[in-house]
Amino acid sequence: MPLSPQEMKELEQQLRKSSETALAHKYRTLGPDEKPTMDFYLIERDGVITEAIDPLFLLVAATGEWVDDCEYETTLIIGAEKMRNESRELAMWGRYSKVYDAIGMIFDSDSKHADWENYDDPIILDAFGPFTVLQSYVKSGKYRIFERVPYLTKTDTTLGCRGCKYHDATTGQCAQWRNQNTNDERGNFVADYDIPACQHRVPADQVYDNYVEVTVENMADPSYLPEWKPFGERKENYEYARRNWTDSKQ
Amino acid sequence: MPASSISTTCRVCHRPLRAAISVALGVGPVCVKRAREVMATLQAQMRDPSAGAIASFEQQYGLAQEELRLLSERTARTAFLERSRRGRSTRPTTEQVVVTSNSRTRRSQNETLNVEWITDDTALIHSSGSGRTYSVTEHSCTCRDYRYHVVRHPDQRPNGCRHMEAYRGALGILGHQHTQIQPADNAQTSEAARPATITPNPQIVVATREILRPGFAGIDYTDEALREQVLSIWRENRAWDGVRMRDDQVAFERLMTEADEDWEYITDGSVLGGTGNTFGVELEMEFDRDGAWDLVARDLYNEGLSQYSSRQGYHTSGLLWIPTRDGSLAGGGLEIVSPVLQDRPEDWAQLRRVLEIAKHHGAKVSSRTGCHTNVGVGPQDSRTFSWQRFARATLAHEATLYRIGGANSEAYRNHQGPGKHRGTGYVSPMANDLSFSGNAMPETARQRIRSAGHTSMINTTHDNRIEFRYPNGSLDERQIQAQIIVANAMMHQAAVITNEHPLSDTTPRFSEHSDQIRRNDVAIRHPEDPRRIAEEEKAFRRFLDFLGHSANRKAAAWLWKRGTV
Repeated sequence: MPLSPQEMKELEQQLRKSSETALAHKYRTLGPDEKPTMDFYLIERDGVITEAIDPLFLLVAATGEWVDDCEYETTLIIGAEKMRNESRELAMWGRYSKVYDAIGMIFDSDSKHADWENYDDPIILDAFGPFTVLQSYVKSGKYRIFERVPYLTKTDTTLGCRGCKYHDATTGQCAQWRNQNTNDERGNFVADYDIPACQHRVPADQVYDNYVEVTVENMADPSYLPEWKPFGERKENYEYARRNWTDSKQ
Repeated sequence: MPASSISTTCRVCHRPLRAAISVALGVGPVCVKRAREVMATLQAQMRDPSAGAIASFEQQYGLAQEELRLLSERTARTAFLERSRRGRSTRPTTEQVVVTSNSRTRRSQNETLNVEWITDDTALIHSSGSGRTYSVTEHSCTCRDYRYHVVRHPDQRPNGCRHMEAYRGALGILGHQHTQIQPADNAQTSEAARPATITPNPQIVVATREILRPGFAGIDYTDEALREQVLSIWRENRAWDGVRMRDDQVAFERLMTEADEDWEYITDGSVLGGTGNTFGVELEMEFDRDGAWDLVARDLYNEGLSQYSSRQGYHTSGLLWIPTRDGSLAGGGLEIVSPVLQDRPEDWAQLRRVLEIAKHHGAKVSSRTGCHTNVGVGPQDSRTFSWQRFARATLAHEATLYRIGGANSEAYRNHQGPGKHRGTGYVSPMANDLSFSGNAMPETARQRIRSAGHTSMINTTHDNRIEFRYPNGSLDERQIQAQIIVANAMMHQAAVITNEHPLSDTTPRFSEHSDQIRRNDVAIRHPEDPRRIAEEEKAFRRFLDFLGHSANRKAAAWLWKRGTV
């Protein structure tokens, strides 16, 4: 007997609850009197605090999606989707924003009926990758993010696994994004496996004394990331969007 | 009380009511008790919401006494349906199945996924790598890869997400694509040579099992309203055409002439009346050469029709076609048990392919082989009126069923005359004292019908199907299809014929022994005896009337002409 829509809904709620309980050591929402103990935490507009053990689970906490268990392409799609939603929400407050992905602009909240308070200085939400999505949340004001190790505010912009807080050089395991990568793509065991282009490196030798709030002023410039382009060099419209628009005029 | 509100069946469980007080209340005594218990619980919650489940605002403040009573009855009815449903679990397995899969996210090989079915088509899949649990069906998953990637780019991910692949892997659909498939010339393929778990190969696009079509397979059998809705499809598609074969000699002769022509194997999903009822077959066969059964099993495995690559022990369970040993056959023979099938092109194609493989390896039928035909109990109700009608029909037409079961289309096609039924060794006639009330519990009816023993020609041991054991073994898919049509039609006709129905006289009462034409009534005489010939024809013409529609009559006549008792 198939489950009814109501039963499906209840089952999903139950699964969400049980999964989040099982992963409470990775990220969790704090009670009113609790203080954060993990390396990262974010504060929502209503004051709810969620802490996370690493940048991956910080993204889980920020997006509300289980990006810790999906492919990287899906993480990028989710990031773009969330930024689009964020832009729409900002529009409700009269704040003008544009959303870019790695290639070009994917959403522009401009409307002739709107009365923008920052029309000449739009907020740029960058869905280039998880790093820029988290920074964009700070820019939009959705979350206040605090970190005890430099990730969004890092000054050491080296790429790759070596010297990363979450990379175990003896076992080749990454505790953050690919937590069992002792094998290479062909399945061969590699003890000191390194991903030279990993963009999620957190320097192991830098620790803040206290939590540091990520602000627009102190956040790291993402231009060091491979394939990242300044917004001026990205496309203003995707090719297909322009073609469709032309077709409709004809 | 207005007359229209008087009910003769219980509002909660739909069982008939006899006592005047119950009829007046519209609820039976057991259900009244249960509803009162529910009401007491609800009232306790209303007095102290923190004591139990949270009562809604309406329950706490706005519920009139009459509304509370109705709510209690509705809750009791839900509980009744739940009890019925739990008693008929259709989950593929109640055990956890472990499937291994590669994770691109974590770049890990052979990550384990635990698959546990919660309903017949929904499983919870726990990923050991992430610690997350998802609700998965054949065509959906609650993971983000499915929601954000697969549904938007189905062309890029034709197999769905890895959890859906694991689901199919657990069903054994991908079992045949395992990298350790034995070479074709090695007939000694053994299960021990393969790992205990199934590794799906994501590179290969597989044909997925379709979810069962709506109809009897998809409804709660205790829900009378839904059951009636599905039965109305049969009433429409297989409506009685007004022909009475007992009276219409011309029509009968025309039908028998048509039955001489060969059967057209129909695979377009139009042969079983459109009610979505399920069926299955158990194909028994023997071989001249020992070990040939493993060749059949291996080919079934290689074609993805079975999860076993060698002949298994009797009563092995599985979700695809299962090649098993049967001690009643020479050398153990081979009994191929089908999965649950429906009137769908792909299912009929599977049946034909299985028979082709068996014949290719020298399978044959003998006086020991049978072809047990199973039909889903969907058309029968949770009470016993239709069960009783079915049992009465079986008794009344016993001789005809034996003759139909004895059909041998191959011999008839080769001008060797009709086949002969294999006898009563594994096909016992119905019990002489078979009788039960139309108000009996369904389990009582089942027990009474199979009271001749587990080899009874109609076996009602199983919860969700009835086994028609009388057909002889056959490797002709056309003959097997005709047997399925007749068995399916009997089930449906028993459900739609009532005492007021014009065909009700085709199912005489249990006590009307003189109207029952039993196997021994005809077998006692010589096959050439004119009295036997007349008796058999008379019985058969009444059986044709019972079937009531030309499509069903055609199948029965085709079989009848090719068999003898």
